[in-house]
Amino acid sequence: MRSILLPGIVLFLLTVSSCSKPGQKPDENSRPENFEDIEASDNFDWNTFKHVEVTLTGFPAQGPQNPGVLIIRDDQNRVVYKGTHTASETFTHKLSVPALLTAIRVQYGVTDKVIPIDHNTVNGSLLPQLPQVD
Amino acid sequence: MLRTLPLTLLLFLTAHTFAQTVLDMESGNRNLDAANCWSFHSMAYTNTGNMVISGSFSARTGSFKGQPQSLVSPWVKDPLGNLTFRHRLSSADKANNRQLHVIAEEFGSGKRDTLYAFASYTPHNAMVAVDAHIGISKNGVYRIHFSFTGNGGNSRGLIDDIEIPAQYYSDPMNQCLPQNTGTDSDGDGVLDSYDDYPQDVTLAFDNNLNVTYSTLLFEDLWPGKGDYDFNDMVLDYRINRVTNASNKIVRASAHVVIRAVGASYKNGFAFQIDGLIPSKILTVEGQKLKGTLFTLASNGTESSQNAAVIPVFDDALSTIGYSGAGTGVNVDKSGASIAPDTSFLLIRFDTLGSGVSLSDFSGITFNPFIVVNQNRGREVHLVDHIPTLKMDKSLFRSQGDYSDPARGKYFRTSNNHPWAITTASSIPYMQEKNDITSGYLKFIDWAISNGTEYSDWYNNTTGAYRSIEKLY
Repeated sequence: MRSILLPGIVLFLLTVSSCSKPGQKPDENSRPENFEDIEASDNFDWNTFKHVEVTLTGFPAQGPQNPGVLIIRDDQNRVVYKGTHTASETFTHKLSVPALLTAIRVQYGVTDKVIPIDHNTVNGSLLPQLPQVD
Repeated sequence: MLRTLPLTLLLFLTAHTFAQTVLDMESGNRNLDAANCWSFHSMAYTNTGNMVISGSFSARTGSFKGQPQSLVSPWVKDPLGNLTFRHRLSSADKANNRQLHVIAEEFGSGKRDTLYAFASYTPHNAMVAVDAHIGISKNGVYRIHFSFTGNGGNSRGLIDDIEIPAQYYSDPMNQCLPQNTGTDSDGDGVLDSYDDYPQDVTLAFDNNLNVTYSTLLFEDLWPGKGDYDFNDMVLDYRINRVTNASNKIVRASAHVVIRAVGASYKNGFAFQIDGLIPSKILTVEGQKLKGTLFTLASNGTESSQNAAVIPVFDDALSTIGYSGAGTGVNVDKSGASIAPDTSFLLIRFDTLGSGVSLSDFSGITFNPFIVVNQNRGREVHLVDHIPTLKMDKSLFRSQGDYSDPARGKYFRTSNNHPWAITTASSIPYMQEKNDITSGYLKFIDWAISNGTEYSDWYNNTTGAYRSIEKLY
């Protein structure tokens, strides 16, 4: 009997003690009513921007080896980055964009495509994405 | 001279004779070949055994529905010699219905010349590859269309091993137009169609730090806790970094708009560019500094700092033009109302040596702060943004502040509350003595979810995110 009770008590205590850690979303009944009552996590940065690590692999280009112009736009077509870039090199840059942005549009040479933001990173290439053919 | 002439002639003839533009599909990557200016119109690559003409990959059409399906070469120059390629169908189905046309299109005039018309596919020969050799001799810039037509049936058109006897002449970096067709008026290496400053060799691109005005909201009682209306100083800002063709920042323009001052303190405003040594800045113009709060170096940055600190104004109340009684301006709809004041700063950067990159002055290194009531040591920054060298560090861990510099934690209370917030767009702010959570109804949900929910709390996305009567 004692061997059943002891683990049960420990499990109960663990469950109770883990209910109200700062930063965890409390249930509706304990939702703060004002700013003073908010218990935020110490890793919450109160930032409405996010910093997105963009990595776009290059490709071997034919023709004159002049740098092209790489343009990155947001979901409203506004330019968030514009600069020269050599096709064969990998582009890396950290962008600061609104936290609610979910994808970026990449334009480079004939490439014009949308790449999703996943966990504050964008991984893709500078190649175009042609449509499927049946 | 006589000795070198034959050699030069030989080199010229060799180069001309062997100039080839080739597509054998062996990259297996249609996107790569498209990046190099081959155009695919309902055409794909295949490595399916019975569809491959040679090597590991060939190009194929989709199903035939009456529309042409074509592969178009890059622009080539002065084609001369034999244009060769191999083609067939994937099966005998509807073979008599299929045709292949090869057409040369001249750049500029758009004139098209049919070089090859093949309408001889039959059920018997459909799967036997045809080796095409077409003599071509043209002066000028052309591209070659390989166009299949047909309707119905299951067979696909296949093509491989294209060799065009001409010099590759597209520019992949200029929309695949022929080389040397773009204009670069200022000669900075950036074509006018991409250059935001086509007449200025020193400038090329606008790179906005924020694409619209953003709002900064401050509480100024730090290290004491405030009333959470976040209107002691309300600013909008927008910063554009102008870069050159080498992606170095040449200058930046900063618009800073004082919208409201819900305080009696005489607060100043500045921003630090974290990690950027002050000497990287040549000049700063447009600051509104009347008192002695900030001491400037000759380049307009604050003196005795290890990172560039750019004071914008030293007293928000006097800058906005308020000298009356009471506690603030533009925070109570029944109180004083003054037109917002805009400062326009022009910052010039040193472009020599390594220069200043967009990463050096970015949304990460931009570190705005207020200086409270002319006390230079009393700065209020956004959460976890480092103070300047002139900050009075003894104020940390006093009153309501719970900063922990050793852990990189700054300007937080014991409940991790901030004294300053910025939003990615310009928003209405709180009227005096109204907790920000009473005006922005999803703010609490955003905060307690660690920012994972309602990251659009400051927008009026559904019309139900704001309590308008609490806002100014």
